[in-house]
Amino acid sequence: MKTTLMKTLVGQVIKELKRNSLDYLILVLGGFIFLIFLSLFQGERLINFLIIVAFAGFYILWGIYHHSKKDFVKGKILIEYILIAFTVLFLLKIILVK
Amino acid sequence: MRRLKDLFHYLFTPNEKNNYVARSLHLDFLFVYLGIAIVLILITKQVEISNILGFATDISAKKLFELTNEERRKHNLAPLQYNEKLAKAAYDKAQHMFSKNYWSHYGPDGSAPWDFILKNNYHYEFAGENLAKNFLFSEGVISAWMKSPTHRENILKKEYQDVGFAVVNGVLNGEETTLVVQMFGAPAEKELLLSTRVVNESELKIEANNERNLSIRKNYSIEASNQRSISYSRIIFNTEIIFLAFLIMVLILDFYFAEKLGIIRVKGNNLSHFIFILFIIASFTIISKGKVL
Repeated sequence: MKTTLMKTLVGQVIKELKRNSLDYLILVLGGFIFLIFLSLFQGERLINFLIIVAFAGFYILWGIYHHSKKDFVKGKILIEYILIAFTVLFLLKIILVK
Repeated sequence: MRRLKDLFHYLFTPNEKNNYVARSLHLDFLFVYLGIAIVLILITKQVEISNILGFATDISAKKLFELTNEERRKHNLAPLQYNEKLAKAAYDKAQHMFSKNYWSHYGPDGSAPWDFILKNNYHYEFAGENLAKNFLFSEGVISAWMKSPTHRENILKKEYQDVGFAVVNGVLNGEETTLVVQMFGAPAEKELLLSTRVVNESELKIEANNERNLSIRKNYSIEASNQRSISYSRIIFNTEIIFLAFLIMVLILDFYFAEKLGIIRVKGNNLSHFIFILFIIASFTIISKGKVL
């Protein structure tokens, strides 16, 4: 049953990725660039935090771009992206910046 | 049991009762998560104010000493003895780096690592220094040193007999920084004749040093205060990972059932949130590591 669940889930993910392949490509590319920059500035806490802020900003803009293609961007959807991005930012601030 | 099952479905899967979006992903819950993150920041600030060491990391001289000798044991080398003079020299070096605002083996005034060792009356035949900054955990420091050929050479040098550590917080280049200084030594003939006190692991401590013009917080008896900051920083780090893993689980469940039931809804994209959080979790492996020199 677990294998069936996993197969179904993977199938759904692939279906969704195919539906919006360019959007997800941009998102994943942005994610990898984020990790590369973090590695380049490893040990520099303030710079790391700024890179994370930039990635969070990129993510919110990506959300606006992604949803504006389907329909107009509802405030509720934008708030959702902002809340997730800011929650992550504040969590990482605890570790990185005092 | 049924109530638990209903609660589980209400919180984590889309259905009629939660307007076809997992309750844990509703905006009010997201606001709660943000609120918890802000409260954690405030609590951390409070802990720092009461914590003598200030910036909380899970790095201690005791742990670094244990891990160093563990590496030496793996390579069939004799363990190093903890030396108070080298520890003091390491502490003086860290203080000097903060006061002169540099990150290097050699100071802007030309001071070398050996100067600090000699100032503390450790007459050496061999001596060495490893530096690290901005790590979160002792294991990360040792692992980074072992990956670097020159630092690894220091740790595994068979000529060394003694070691001292300093873990000091301060402001370097305008940024709160945790410096780790590791000093190695092999005493010269003269030193061998003097009684060098072998310090038991339970006695490891770094003396407070009220130097002038330093914006560092004081290092007093490190073990007691370090225990509190060790537990807290490790707890915070693990809690954040667990929370992000929880979010990912909720997103996956909500996504799976929404797709399975063919629910069309006005909502943010679960898969994109999942990808974003996955990259953030991946970033933890990078940001927990610092720099070595």
